Amino acid sequence: MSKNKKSVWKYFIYFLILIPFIFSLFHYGLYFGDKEKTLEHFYLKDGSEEFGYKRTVMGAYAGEFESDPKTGFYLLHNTKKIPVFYLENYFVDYPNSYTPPKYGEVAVYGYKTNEAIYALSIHNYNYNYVLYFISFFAGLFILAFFFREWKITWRGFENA
Amino acid sequence: MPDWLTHLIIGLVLIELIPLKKKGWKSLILLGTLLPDILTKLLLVEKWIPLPESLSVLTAFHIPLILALFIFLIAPLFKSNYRIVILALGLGTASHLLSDLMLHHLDPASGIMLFYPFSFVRFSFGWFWPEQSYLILIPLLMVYLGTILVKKFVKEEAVWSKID
Repeated sequence: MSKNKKSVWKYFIYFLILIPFIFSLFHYGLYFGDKEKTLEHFYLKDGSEEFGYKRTVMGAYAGEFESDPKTGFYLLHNTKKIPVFYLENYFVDYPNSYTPPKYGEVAVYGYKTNEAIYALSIHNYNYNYVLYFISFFAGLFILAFFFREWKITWRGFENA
Repeated sequence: MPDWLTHLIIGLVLIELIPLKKKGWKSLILLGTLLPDILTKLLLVEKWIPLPESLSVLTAFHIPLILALFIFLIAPLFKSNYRIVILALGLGTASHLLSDLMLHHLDPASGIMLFYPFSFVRFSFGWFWPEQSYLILIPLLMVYLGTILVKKFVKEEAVWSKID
């Protein structure tokens, strides 16, 4: 096979891989959009019906409710401070008291509405910040190791 | 995810166990151990800047098929033996997904879509929470140090037997 033909063949195979890759990402995006955004209904203690998306939201603990600490707490998710209510009849993890995480974040799984999260279960990721710190250095080590063996050129990565 | 140190140690154990001499493959295994997280962790920017919801598609980089296609696509960037690049990145990535499979999730329906696009079922062994990754980190460190010691011992034995 001539060099030119080989090169065309290589590009053809590359596009044969690229197309399903892009298609899969689009499909996953659509699936994620449809499946994860199904509005579900649940009942509050007073019997009233509410609607929300079942989600896990992770963030920093941002203090208990001043009015009634036993009903929930605030969660700082990205830049938003979201109230988290213990969903009675469903919630079993911390029936009477909730202890905030130590040097870490809290994950809340429950029904997310526009204003709040109604928790089905909660998990404290204690010492998670320590893990982030360690992970940062592990990442740096891999980067250093990589650039010991490879160098960037205009044609890609070549052995250093 | 278990922390990156755990993924790194798994990669180092793989490097010790696989007798490949090709230059550059060790760092590719290590790169592979973090590959599924590198793009996904870009979403952490959202802690400070709101990102469009469409970017949540980056979580797709924990799906074996999408990762495999991604590895095939980026492999030509490395000017080396194409098969070895794919093998090294693939091994590292597989080790990442296997260790992620051990994790326990708050959402019972969470996990890795191993058979996407044929099935959307998410799999997870649920053995430990992400912050308990020391439960595999400590045994892994022992395996890693043990492998190095055994290799050193075998090497020294070979040198002594040659002298004898």
